[in-house]
Amino acid sequence: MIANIDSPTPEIAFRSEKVDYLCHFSEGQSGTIVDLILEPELQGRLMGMGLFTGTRFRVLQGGNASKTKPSSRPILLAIGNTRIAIGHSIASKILVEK
Amino acid sequence: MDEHNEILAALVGQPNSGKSTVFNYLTGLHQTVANYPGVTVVKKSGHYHDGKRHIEVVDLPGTYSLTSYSQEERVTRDFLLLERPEVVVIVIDASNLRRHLYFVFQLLELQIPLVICLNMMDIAHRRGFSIDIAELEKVLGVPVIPANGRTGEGLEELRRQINIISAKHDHESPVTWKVNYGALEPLIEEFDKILSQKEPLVQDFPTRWLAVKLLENDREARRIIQHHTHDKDWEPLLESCVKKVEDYEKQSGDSPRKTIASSRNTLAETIEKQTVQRTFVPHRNSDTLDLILCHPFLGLISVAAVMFITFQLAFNLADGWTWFPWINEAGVFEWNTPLGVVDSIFSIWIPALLDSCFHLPEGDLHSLIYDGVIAGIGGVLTFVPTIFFIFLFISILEQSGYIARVVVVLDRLMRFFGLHGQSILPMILGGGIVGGCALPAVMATRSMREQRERILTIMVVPLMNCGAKVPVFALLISAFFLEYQGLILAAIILISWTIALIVASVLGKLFIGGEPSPLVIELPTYQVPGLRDMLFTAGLQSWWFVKKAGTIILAVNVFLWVLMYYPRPADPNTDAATQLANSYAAQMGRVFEPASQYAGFDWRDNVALIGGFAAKEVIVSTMATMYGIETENENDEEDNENSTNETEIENDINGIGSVDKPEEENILKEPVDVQGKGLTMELEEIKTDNLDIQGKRLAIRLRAEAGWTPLKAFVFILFVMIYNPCLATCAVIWRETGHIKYMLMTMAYTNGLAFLVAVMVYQLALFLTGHL
Ligand SMILES: Nc1nc2c(ncn2[C@@H]2O[C@H](COP(=O)(O)OP(=O)(O)OP(=O)(O)O)[C@@H](O)[C@H]2O)c(=O)[nH]1
Ligand SMILES: [Mg+2]
Repeated sequence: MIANIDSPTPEIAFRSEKVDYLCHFSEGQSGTIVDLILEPELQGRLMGMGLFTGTRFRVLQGGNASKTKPSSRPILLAIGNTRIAIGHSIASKILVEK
Repeated sequence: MDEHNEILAALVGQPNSGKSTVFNYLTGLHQTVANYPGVTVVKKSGHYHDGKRHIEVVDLPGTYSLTSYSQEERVTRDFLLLERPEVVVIVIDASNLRRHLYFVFQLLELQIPLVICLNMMDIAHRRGFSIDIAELEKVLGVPVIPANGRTGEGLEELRRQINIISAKHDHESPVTWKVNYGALEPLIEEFDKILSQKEPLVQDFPTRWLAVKLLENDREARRIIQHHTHDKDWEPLLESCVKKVEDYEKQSGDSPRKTIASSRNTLAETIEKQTVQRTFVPHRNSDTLDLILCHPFLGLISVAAVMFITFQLAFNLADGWTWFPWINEAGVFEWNTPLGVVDSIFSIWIPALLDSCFHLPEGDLHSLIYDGVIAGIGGVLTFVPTIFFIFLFISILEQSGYIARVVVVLDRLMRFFGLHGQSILPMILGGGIVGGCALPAVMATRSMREQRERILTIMVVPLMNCGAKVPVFALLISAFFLEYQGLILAAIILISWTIALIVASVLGKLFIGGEPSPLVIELPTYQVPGLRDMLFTAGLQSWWFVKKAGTIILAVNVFLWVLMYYPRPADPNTDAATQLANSYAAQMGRVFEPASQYAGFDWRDNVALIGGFAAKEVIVSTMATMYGIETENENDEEDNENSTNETEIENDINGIGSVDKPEEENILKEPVDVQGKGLTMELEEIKTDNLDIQGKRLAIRLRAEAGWTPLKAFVFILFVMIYNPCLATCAVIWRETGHIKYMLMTMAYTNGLAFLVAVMVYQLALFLTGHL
């Protein structure tokens, strides 16, 4: 059987005002994943956990909107029913949109 | 029905989906279950019978996807491709359907006989999800069995399906199922067509799956193609594939890998919409709880508090609170501690029973049985209650889902020392909270992807306080630091962590280099721990300990008894002190004494520590034998001389702990008649005084021993904490790192550091108290 779904072609709003790195998001903020700029292994793992381009998420804890003094705390994300903690070094390689 | 009676069934799924729980139900075995992703690191097999059929079930490590980037993904994928199980049961979390479907698709594409165990239905219901099972089966084309691994609901049906599918397997090819990869389809079809022309490949692998894998730039897939064809024709195919992938990337601005993943995710989303309805959205209190437990400051306080409470409870249940009904030696009912009960069995009941049955005359055999075998086993078994309760509480922490939060809270700290938040689990398994085993802990590092942190973690895991070191600590705490049990235990934990972190940092910088890898961890749903799993975990660990006590430890103990009992003196009237002082063991211990005396250890302590090389459990039983045998040595002049010095030191040193009960001072001052009535009287004295005592005869004996002071006890604890890992752990370090050098490095630094720390602390304390 063939599931007739076309692959999405995400429209990435690079350099748009709304796009930023996940580590700059602060507690309570919601957004959408734009891109995972990570090596294949980590990318694969995050996708296995449900982080894809276009996935909606909410920051439960960590993160810091201040770009001059970013926090190095892990960020707790709510993605559907999944809760994931992501270290700062990865969060600074995930592009997200408000 | 099928003629074949041997069926191989594999359990696969994402981490923490309940595979081991289902495995345990199906096989009746007890594979470790914990609410933490990545608990099962090596595949484990068991079996059950269904009529005439023998079904071998394999529990595979959880993986987030089926690429070939990490070790457990490769283990799982290779198993499925090479072992070709008759049935593959994919265990998925019903409350997280979309995410798990993404994984299901990757298995469906492998065209293997599948059955889906839709586990955690209870959680899905609690979260307001209602799943249309029939529709899901229709869309996926494979049987879907709703289940609850904890209660066993649905698992009989799963057995039935395993039977049906394995019977079908010989006659029908499994369903061919496809995800539509949109813009990539022409490329996939092109590769598929080329690949399907090669016979050996077609027989062993679904060619469409290989084509997709080639586009994902999967190394394993390339290797498969090269392996199955000695024909150079394949080189141009692989080269053209690379080129086409590049072209696609240029045109679409995205990698095929991302497109493939997105297509699968979109499909999962569609199927979820089609089959799942949310009837209500409950408030998630767990998010509020996470705000506290994962908070950088509050979280740390919580970790410390939880660990402290856990171990206070464990120790009190084992040997603090008298809650266990028992008949004492006078035949009177009493409330005792579990440890007191075990102690009375080995020190009173068993010797009395043997006496009444066999009437063994004094001599070699009597000594072997009473001093070698019973004292040895008894010395070790008295710690089973402690181990049982410690693991009972560790199991609660693991099953509740709390450990994953501990990883998050401690990640930054660990990173500072060159480790990883994920190093926490192996370190806790190895005895980070006291009690555990370095051996499975070293193996648990397999789920760590980065070699650097993995090796560092492996090398510092032996510094944690494994279950086998606990008896030594418990013994010395009960002998010298009774008043400060909790405090000393907390200090032990803190010191071992401090040393481990410093060592990791130094080793990382000096020998290994590189940067620690980043943290990504799923926080599992909080769960009320299942009593069955708790009891099994605690029982299993205790049994493991007993088994070891019954085999290696007993053997080592008897061997040590031989070393201590022989050579027999020519003159039968030679006193025991002289005999022991000339024994093989004493000779060995004396070789090290010139050095060990700087740490306060005499030859007897050296013998116990040498025994500990084989297994740390041996230390206590060796000491029991050593100090038990040497009872006639009480009036040794040298010892009495030490006694005055050491008692003064003991009174001077503050902060390490001192013995201040008058009863205990009496014990210190008066020579003890351990073999006769003296010891029994003191035990009773202490019990009637209702002191919080570990019930250890050896503890009393050590306290009465002139050379033993709180300072020496503390230094001994430090030495045991740091020195050489047991032989089994050494072997596993070698095997897991693949290099003997890491084993040798670990042995070298642990022994060197243990000696250095012990000498420094001992000498410094003597100096500060003016005894040097
Ligand atoms: N509520 C509920 N909990 C379950 C169910 N099945 C398993 N669990 C719990 O889920 C947790 C994870 O179960 P495991 O069996 O260890 O999961 P696993 O898939 O083997 O995990 P890894 O070995 O880490 O890949 C444990 O706390 C189980 O008690 C279920 O159907 N319902
Ligand atoms: Mg498991």
